[in-house]
Amino acid sequence: MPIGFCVRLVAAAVGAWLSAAGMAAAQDFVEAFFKGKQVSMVVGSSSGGGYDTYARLLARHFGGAIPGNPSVIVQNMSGAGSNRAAGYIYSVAPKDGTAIGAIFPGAVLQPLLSDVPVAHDPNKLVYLGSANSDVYVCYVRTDAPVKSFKDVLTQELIIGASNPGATTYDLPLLLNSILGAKFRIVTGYPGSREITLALERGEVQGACGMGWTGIELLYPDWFAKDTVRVLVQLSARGHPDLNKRGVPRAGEFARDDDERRVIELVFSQGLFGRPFVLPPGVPPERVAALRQGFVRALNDKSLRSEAEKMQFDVEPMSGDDLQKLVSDLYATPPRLVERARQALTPKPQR
Amino acid sequence: MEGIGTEAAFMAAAAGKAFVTLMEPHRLMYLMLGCMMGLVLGIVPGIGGLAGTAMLLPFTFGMDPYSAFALLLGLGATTATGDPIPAILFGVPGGAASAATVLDGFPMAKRGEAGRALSAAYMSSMMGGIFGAMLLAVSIPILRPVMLYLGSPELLAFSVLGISMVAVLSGSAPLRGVAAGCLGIMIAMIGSDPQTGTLRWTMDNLYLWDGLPLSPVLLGLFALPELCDLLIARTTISKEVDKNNIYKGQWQGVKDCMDNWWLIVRCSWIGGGIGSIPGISASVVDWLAYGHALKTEKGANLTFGKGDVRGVIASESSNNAKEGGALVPTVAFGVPGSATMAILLGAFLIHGLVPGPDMLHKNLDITYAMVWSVALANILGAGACYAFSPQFARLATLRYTLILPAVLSIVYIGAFEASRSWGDMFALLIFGVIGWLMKQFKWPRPPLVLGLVLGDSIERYMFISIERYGFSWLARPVVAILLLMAIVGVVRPFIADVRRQGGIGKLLSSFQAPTFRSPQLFTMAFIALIGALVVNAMSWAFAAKLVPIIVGALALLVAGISLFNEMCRKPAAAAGTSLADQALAEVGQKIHMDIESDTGHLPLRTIVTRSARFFGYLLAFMGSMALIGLIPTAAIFVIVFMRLEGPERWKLVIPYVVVLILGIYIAFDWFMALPWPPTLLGQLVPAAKIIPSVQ
Repeated sequence: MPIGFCVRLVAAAVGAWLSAAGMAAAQDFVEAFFKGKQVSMVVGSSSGGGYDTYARLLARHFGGAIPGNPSVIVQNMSGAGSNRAAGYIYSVAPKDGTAIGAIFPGAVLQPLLSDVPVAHDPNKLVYLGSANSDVYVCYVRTDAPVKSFKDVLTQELIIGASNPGATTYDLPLLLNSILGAKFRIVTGYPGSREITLALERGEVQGACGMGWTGIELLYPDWFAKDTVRVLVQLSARGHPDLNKRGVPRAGEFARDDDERRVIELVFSQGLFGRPFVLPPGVPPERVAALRQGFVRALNDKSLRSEAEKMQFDVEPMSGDDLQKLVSDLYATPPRLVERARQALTPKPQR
Repeated sequence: MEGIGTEAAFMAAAAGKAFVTLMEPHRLMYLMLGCMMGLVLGIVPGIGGLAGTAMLLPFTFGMDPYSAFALLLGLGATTATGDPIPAILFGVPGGAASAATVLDGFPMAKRGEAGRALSAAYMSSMMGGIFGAMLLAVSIPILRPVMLYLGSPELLAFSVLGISMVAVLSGSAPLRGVAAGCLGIMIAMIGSDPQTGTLRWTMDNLYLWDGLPLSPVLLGLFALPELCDLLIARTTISKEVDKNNIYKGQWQGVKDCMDNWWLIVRCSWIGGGIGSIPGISASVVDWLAYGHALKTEKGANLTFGKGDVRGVIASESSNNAKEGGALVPTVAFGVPGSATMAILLGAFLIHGLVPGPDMLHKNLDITYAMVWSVALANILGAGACYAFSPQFARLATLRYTLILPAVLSIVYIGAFEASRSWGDMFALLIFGVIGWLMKQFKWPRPPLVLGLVLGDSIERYMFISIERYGFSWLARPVVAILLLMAIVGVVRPFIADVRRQGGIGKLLSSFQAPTFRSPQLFTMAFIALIGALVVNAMSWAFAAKLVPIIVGALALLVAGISLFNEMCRKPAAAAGTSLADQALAEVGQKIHMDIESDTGHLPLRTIVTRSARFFGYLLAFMGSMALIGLIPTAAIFVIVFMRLEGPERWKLVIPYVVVLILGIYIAFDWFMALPWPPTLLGQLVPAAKIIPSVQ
């Protein structure tokens, strides 16, 4: 055995020991820091909504998964599609790990894709991870003339939407601009539930940009009795159930690679359905501990059983993965970003 | 025929089963527990039971659905029950749907009839809740078809009909009323526009993105002016102090309700009906019921707004029936009719219930259990308040130095609770000034609220209707009827007005060369404000500016005519010289549709200096809040106010401050966990963050 190798081996062993000791020490510091502290989780929606309920679910189990077991309380700060809460976390909240933001995917992606002024830089936020992911879909009443996504490329389909910036508006608009779909978007419904009601009474024929898990849960009859059908999935990978049923993904209709990349850039917000963030500047060892705690809490048995009861799906994405995803998104070539921006600019329809 | 019979039998069986199940002691206990919490949470102005319900939700996971809904609905249904107390005693609307109660309830309290007003409010709340539940119980089988029939055009027509109430609620000042209503609609347009995403009048401020929240605006418009006038008048709210009177009043209130039972039935149905329409905000049902009473009750147009008990009855019976109505869209379609119902929807899923047709067939008994829970909660909640109303009524006899500090502190925090932002404080202050000026210059405030709440839905549903149906929706029967009713409602009082003035010819001949008087400055400022808003809107995308510009133009037109009228109208022949006489002459036979200012006897100079003092306190409060945080500020404010204005004895001041601040701390810092805004103290001395609300 050459001496050089031995030296390197010893050095590596010493290094490993040192770093393990260092980590343990960091762990102790983190534990000492969080002990007896109160961590506030600032939720970007008002009390009672799905986001809030989900955040409260996590908050109940999160403290136990962080070294030092701090108490975690929920604070609601609604407004501007959670951009307010994101801005608060970004610049006002303490940067010591005692403030966590629960924001919407839109607050992460929109600053890239629109000119709307916001007070935070999503690429500089520190991501704890995302609690679940969702696949957006377009669906249509079976009594409408449009039967498949191919039909929408030649035939008009009346769909309901809430407002620019919401997935129910942005995603069909994107399909219109990029793929030449012929969605006639009736805008102004207060929220997705009102759109669904309009669909039930036949005021609109379909809707686009709704999360699949929620629909499947709330309207099981639709698909069992075939009164409503899913046209297309707005996701790069698709949902396993829908893939099995042979529902196409919008990317398949792209005519070139750029088109596919543009639509998948916008769809990417479905990958991180419930992002949780820290302000920039939180000490790295605390970030690491919180990220670990986040995944541990979401995989905790008692959280899972509660979630199952509440019919929330849990599919944690780690902080590292989400951080990378976001920086990749923000590294998208400018020409594609510009194309997406153009595609999402509201235009008069007639 | 037989089908209907079996259906009815099935319904009755489900209703009976639900009732029996709910009556089991442990479920009743949950219901009462919910009611108790609702009452406590609801008594603070500006706070609903929303946060409470959200926090309670996890505790209901382990319960059976009947108990869970009993607890949640008990809480949800009673948070508004406490609202009439501050509305009647201090003129401070405790919640969005109690603003109309102020109009007659507060003058009654001033007259020494607080006991009667409170008693009538609670008796009519109770009865309204029961009538509302009865309507709901009977109409369950037709709910889904009816709701499916109501499309966006119908929702638009309902909103238009609602806003046509401006004509009634403007009283003697129709032009000013319409102008105020237009301003309300324009304020409703603030924020991100639903059609194009244009940020309208947001001044690059995230706070304004979603539009102004309702509660700081309402507290500003209605609460601050009353509190300001209380400081100007420097008296107690109620002049009379007589113990027997209070108990007699309590009995009188019950009799009032019995005498006006038919009014209660109608108003509760209005409340329940509007509450049950998905997609229309029910926070103006009190005004709609009030307007309805004003239009239909005998002699109402002479006495409403001056302390007519029927005004209180109309408002309170409607808003209590609303929550029961809000169950309908939640249960039948999964579209929550109110914020509390959104939480309830979460509870549905936890218990394996899916809103929709099943809730009206397979799970009908659970639906009935909810209806009964709301009805029972109303009875329990209103009953409890009724029992205590003599105690509450005495509050109106306290000195202003005792009332103002606590109420004002709570109004501040209540406004802050709306979106937990500095913007709430500014909105409160700005609308406080606007409200006070409107009150002083006899501009009716109710139309502004109506415009503010309904403006948004009118715009939304108009765009949806036109985009979806072109103009054919105008021919839909329900739409046509509702719109016709709205037109008649607006035009008829106008024609009657012109006729009373002796026809258009006489009206036109009664003008003279313009003369300037100082109140016209307010009208001019109003025109300038609207003009600035319209100019600002010119550059927006077409769909974003369409409604704001049309409404703005209308506002400019009517305000312009109003100004012309003020300047050029010949003074009535026999008008006296005092301010009060002039006002009387202007008002003619019709009432001024708002609370009268009772500071008229004071010289203008006193009014101006004392109101400056009031708003000075508010500004100082906000300045101090930026320096040292809200809770320490409230403490200092109370001490300074009581010592400076009274002066009250230290022996009284200290326990007062301790109790108030402890209460605020427990409710807002500990229980609600409000995210406080950063303060200068917290930035300079981070160690000071240990003090509550210092960030």
